[in-house]
Amino acid sequence: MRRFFARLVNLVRPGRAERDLEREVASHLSLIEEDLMRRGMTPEAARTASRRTYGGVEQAKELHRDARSFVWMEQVLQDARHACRGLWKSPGFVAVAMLSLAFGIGVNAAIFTLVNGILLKKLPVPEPERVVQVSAKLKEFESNGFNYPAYRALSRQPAIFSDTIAFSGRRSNLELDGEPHPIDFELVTGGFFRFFGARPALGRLIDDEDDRAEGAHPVCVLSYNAWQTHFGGNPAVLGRSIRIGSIPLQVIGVAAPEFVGPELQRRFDVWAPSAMAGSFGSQRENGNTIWLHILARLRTGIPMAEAQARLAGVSRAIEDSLPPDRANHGAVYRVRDASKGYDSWRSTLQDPLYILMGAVTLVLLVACANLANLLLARAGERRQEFAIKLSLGISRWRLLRQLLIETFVLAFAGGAAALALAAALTRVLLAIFNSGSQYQSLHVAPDRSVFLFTFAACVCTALLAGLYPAWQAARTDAAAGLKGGALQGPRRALVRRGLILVQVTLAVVLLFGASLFTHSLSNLKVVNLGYDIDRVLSVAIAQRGPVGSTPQVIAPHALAEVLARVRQLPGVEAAAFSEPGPLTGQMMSTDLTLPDPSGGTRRADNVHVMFIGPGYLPAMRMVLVRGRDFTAADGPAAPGVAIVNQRLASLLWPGQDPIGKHFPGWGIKDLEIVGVAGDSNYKNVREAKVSIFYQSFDQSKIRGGVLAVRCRGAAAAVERQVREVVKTSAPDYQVSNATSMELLRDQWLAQDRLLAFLSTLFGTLGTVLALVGIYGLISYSVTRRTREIGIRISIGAQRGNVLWLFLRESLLLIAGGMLLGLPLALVLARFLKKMLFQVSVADPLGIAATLILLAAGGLIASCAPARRATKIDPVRALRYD
Amino acid sequence: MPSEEKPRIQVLQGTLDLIVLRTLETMGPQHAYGIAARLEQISGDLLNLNQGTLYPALVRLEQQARIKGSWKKTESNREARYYAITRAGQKALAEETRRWRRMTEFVDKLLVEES
Repeated sequence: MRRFFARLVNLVRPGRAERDLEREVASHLSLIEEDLMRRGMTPEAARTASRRTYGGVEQAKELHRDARSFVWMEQVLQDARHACRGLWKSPGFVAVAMLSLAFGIGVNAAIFTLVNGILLKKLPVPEPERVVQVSAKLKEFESNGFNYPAYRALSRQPAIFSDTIAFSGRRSNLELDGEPHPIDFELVTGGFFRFFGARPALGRLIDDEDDRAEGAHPVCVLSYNAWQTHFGGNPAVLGRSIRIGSIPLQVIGVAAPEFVGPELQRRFDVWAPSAMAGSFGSQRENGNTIWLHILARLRTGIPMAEAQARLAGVSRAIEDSLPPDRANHGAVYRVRDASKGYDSWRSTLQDPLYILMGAVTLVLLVACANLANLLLARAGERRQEFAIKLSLGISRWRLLRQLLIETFVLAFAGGAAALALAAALTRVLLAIFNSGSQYQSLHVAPDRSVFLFTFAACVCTALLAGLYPAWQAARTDAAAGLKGGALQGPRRALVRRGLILVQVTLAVVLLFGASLFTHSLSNLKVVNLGYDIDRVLSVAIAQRGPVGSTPQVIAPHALAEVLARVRQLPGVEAAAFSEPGPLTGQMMSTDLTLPDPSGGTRRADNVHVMFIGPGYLPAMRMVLVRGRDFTAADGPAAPGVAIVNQRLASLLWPGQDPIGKHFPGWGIKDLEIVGVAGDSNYKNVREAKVSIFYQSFDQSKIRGGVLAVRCRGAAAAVERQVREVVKTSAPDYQVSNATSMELLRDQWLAQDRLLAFLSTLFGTLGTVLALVGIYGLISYSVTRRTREIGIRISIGAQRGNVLWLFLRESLLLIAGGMLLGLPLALVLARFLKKMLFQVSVADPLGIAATLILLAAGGLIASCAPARRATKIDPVRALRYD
Repeated sequence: MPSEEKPRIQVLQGTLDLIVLRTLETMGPQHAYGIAARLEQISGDLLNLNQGTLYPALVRLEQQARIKGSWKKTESNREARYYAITRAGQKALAEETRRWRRMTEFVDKLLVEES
C-alpha cells in the first residue's frame, strides 16, 4: 500500500524523481571511477571501464523508472498529453463537443445542486434521524402551524420528546439610519439555538431566560451574514439597540457563520425570543393565533411509530388543557421525519425536482449522442492515421485507450465548464423561484457532492459517447485504411443515423414537456379569480402592543378613520377592508348544516368565511349576482347580514332564491342573506372555486384587517401614503404587510414559473443539440459525396434534385424521431399531470407546437449544408480526390 | 582471458532484496556502489551483477520503507546516496531469511534424494 502511494507521488511529480536518479547514477559512476583509478587506471580508462561495470546507463534508468511508477499510468498521462495536442489542432470539433458537454453536464449539475440541497442533505446535528416535525390533524386537514399554548403543552412530554423548539419566520425591515433594509426575521423559543448545538461567533445566543416572560427581554441575535452585511463585522454591535420593523431590540450576540437553523434551504438574518411576539403582531397566549412551527427531538430509544402512538394517546389531554375558545379544537398530534430539516419546501418540490432531474438526464443523453456522432465523424476522417499507427505496431488496445482518453479529456474539460455554468444557472433558478415570494426565500449552494456528481457524469458521458467510436476505430483494417481516405463504412453510417434518431426522439419528449408547462403557466396567469387584481394593493393592518391587552373588537373607530382617509388619497380609485385578505393563504372555514324544506338536512362542509366592508365587492370588481352589497347601515347594532357566493347558494338552497334566508354565521347566531356574489378564489390561485359566505366587516370581531386599495397609477407612492395614514390615524395599529395582489398571486406560481422556465430551457437545449447533430450529419454527408454530386450535376441533375437528396435524408430522420418520440412523450406526460393546471397530458396545442418547431428547426439545420451541395462546381469536384 | 573465467551465476529472481538487506545489515549504511562492490567481493566475482540493476531493488525497498536513503559525503568527499536498513527492513530480512532457509533446505533435500 505504501508503495502504491510512493508510486502515485512519483507519477504526480516525475521531475523530482528523475533528477534524483540522474544524480545517483552520476555519483555511482564517479565512485567506480575513483576506485579504479586508485587501483592504478588512467582517468580515461577508468571512465570507460566504469560504464562497462555499471551496465547500460539508459537501460538502468528505464528499469528504475519502471520500478518507481506505474507504467500504464505514465502511458495514460502521455496519451492525455498526446490527446490534448491532437484536440488543439481541431478547434472546431473541440468547440462543438465542449459546448454540448458543458450544457449537457451543466444543467445536470445545476438540477442536482437543487436535488442535493433540498432532498438529500441532512441537518448538521448529531443523530438527525431523531429530529421530527410536529403537525396537528383535524379531520382531513393537517396543519403544521401551532399556537403557543399548544407548543408549551407539547414541550412538556418528556416520555416522547427530549427537546422541543418552535419558531416563526417572517419578512421584516431592519431600520438603519432611518433606511429600511428588508431582512428575514425569526421569532424563536428559548431552546432554539441549543437544539442545533449552535455556538455564537460573538456575545451569546438566546436562552430560556430570554424567552420566559412576555416582552421582558427585547433582545436579538444577528446572523453572521447580517452582521457582516449591515454592520461591517464590527464587534461594537454588541449591546447596540437596533430596530426591526420599528421595534427596538438589543443585540446580544452573533451566530456562528455555519449556523443554518431548522431549514437547510432558508437563511434568517435576525432572531428574537418568541416572548417578543406581541410586538410583532402575533399573540403568544392566544389559542387562535396559529403562527409557530415545531421541531422536536425524539427521546432516545423511542422509534417514530412508538412516538406517533404515544402522541396520539396524549392528544386529547393536550387539547383539553388548551384555552377553550379555540376554533380548531380536537386535533390529533402527529410527528414525521425531519432529519433533513423542517419541511416547508421539500414535499412540494420533490416531484418537480425528480421530473427536472429526469429531463436533464434526457438532455445529457442528447449531448452524449451528439458527442458520439462527432467522435464517429472524426474517427472516419482519421482512418488513415489509425491505419498507419496500427501498421507501425501499436496494439489495438492501446489505440482504443488513446481514443478513449481523448474523449475523457474532452469530457473533463466540458465538465469544468459545466461546473461554472451550473453555479450561474443555480443562481438564476433561485432568483426566479424567490421573486415574488415575500415570506420564504430558498437558499441552496453547491457542495462537495455536486462536485462528485459532476465528476461521475463526466465519466459516464465519456464512456457512453466514446466507447463505440473508439472500438470502431481500433478495428480499423490497416491495409484498407492505408489505401482509402476517410471512407465511411455502411455500419458506421447507420449508427450515426441511429444516433440522430435518438436525439430527435428525446428532443420531442423534452419539447412536449416544455409546451405542457408553458401552457399550464399561461393558464394560471389568466385564470379568472373572480376579482380583478390589477393595480390592487393588499395592506394588512394589525393591532400593535403587548399581547392580550387588546381584545378583538367590533368596528374599531381607528380602522374606519384609516379607510375614510385612504379613500380620499388622490391616487386611490377605491378601497375597502376584508379579513382575511384573498390570496394571502389565510383562511377561516366552518361547516354548515341547515334544515331542508323536505324535512331532512343539507350540509356544506368547509365553507370559507370572509368579513368584507361596504364597497368591497365593487372595489374588487366582483360580480353581485342578486340582492345588495353591505352598506354603512350594516353596523354593530343592525341585524346580522350575509352575502353568499353562487356555489354556496346552489349547495344549500338549490333551485331557490337564497335572498332572505337565514343561517348561523361566524360569531353571530343568525344571519340574513342580502345578496349573492359571483364565485371567486379565496386562498390561492389553483384551488377550485369554493363555497364562501361574507359577513359585514363592521359586525365582526376583529384584530385588524386587510385593506384592498385599487390605485389609479403607481402603487409604490400609494403604499407610502397608506402607511403614513395608518401611523397618524391609527396609532394602535401597524402595517404588518403591504404588497401588490399581483405579487400575492405570483407567489403561488413560483413553482410553475420555475418549471416552465426550466422545461423550456431544457427543451431548447435538447432541440438545439439535436439540430446540431443533423447539421453535422448532412454537412459530413455533403463533403463525402462531393464527387458523386459533381457527377450528378454534370450529367444534368437540377439544383433542386441535389437539395432534395439531402433534405430527404434529414426529413426522414426527423419524421422517424417524431414517430418514436411522440408516443414516448405522451406516456411520460402522465407523470406531469399533478403539476399541470387545466392542461390535458395529450395537449393538442403542445403536440402541434412540438412538431412544427422541430420540423422547422430540422429544415433550417439541413438546408444550410444542403445548399452548399447545390453550389458544387462539377469540374472541380471531379478533379477532387 | 574470457576462457579463464569461472561460469558466473545470475541473481535468482527475488533474492536481490534479501542480499541487499543482508548487506546493509552487516555493513551499516552504504551507497549503491559500496553494496555492489561488497557483493562482488563476497561472491569472489561469482556474481554477475550489472551495477545498474541494483536500482530497481533499491527503489522498491525504499518504497516499501525497508531501507531509507539519504545524500551524504563519502570519505573522498564525493556525494553519494547512502542507504540504511530500517526497523521494518530488519523484520523483513528475518522473514526473508527464514523463507530462504526453508527453500534451500527443500531444494537440498530434493537434490539429495534425486541423486
